[in-house]
Amino acid sequence: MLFSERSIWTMVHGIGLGGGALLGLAAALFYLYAARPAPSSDAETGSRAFATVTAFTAVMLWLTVIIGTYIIFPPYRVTPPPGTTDLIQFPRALILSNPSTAWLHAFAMETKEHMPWIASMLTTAVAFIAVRYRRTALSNPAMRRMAFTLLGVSFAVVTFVSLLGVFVNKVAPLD
Amino acid sequence: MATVSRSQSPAPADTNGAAMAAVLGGGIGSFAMGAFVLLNEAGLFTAPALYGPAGGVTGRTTFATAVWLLAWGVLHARWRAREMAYGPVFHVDRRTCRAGDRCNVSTSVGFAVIAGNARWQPRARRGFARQQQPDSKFPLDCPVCYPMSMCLVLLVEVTVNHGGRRSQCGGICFKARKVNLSRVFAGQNVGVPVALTNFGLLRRRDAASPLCAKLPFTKDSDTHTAALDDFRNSLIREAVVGRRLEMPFEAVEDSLRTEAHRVVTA
Repeated sequence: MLFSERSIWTMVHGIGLGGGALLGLAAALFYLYAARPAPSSDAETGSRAFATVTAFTAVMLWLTVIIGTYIIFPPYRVTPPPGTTDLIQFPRALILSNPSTAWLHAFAMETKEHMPWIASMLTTAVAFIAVRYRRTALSNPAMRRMAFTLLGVSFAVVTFVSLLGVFVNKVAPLD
Repeated sequence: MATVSRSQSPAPADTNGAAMAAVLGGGIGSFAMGAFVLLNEAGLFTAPALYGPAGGVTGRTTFATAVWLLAWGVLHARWRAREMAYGPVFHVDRRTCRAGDRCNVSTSVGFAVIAGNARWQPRARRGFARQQQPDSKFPLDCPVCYPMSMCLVLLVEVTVNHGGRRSQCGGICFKARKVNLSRVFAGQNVGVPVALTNFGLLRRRDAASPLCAKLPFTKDSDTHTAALDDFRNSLIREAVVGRRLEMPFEAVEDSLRTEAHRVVTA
């Protein structure tokens, strides 16, 4: 079999859902920037597309963190039986066995376990605003700036943890 | 001229309170996540593992998510029909009320107490330390106990005001109209000391502080007296009357002072 079940779940988590969330965040940020109303315009520039993309991103993020926590993380942290010398099936033990890669668990994975949840909460808040205030979310400068800031924070967090995920998967892939 | 007017309240659909609740709820959830991680790392509180194979992270993240949803839900229920000021939502300042023609940054007296005011806190804390009683359960001169005592004040205020006196209008009523204490006291310095005096945390000896300038103290031993209770009720009554008549904010404030004087000298 070309890919194991664990490997498929890892790809779904990292590339499918996490990648989709990153794309959604980038699209929402760009939309917020590009669709700002002209200063002289009194027209409300609300958008169903913005509400859709932020809601989609929030769903992607929640699926990413839930699958990551409950499906990807358990096999990662499995403790190898005593006497095991081949640690390829035990990513955490493999990473910790080498002092030069131990930080990938102590820092990278600890970060990956928690920070994406924050991004999920903040993105959900923006999605709620985008859906509830569809008519004014873009035309209200303060609300748009608030949404832009929260989405920017989420984008930075998701980008950072995605990079850490690449590092971890490169050293100890979940095959 | 700035007025306190009920008719100026925006329609719930046009207010930004729900958005601000979502944002602040997200912030509280993020803080909770960080707090649970820090407490776990410090060995002070370890959230139980809700799913054994994944370990303690399931407990920490679930608890933080619960805090987020709870905070969001509570804030949404309180703010959804209000117009909030963008910026620090806990900041309560009388100038904002005057500039905005309505007290739109109110959260509640309790929140104002907890958030504190940078100008008030140091003086207030010194005052608490001076008048602390030997048998006090809450030593008010320590930085941890001060906010804790403020939280207790909030808890009791909320319990008394919103839990113990349920009536036809769903809260404290005046002539069958619900009185929203948050709006009544929004931006009024007097709201904070009134909340404190209700539970004996301030006395006349602190009257030198601007925090207590408007209190109807008559003697040093005044703490929780009928006069203070009456004064508090008069605040509510006057604020409601003032709003109904669209009195200028300054006139409402003057009437509060007059009422306080009348209560004390009666």
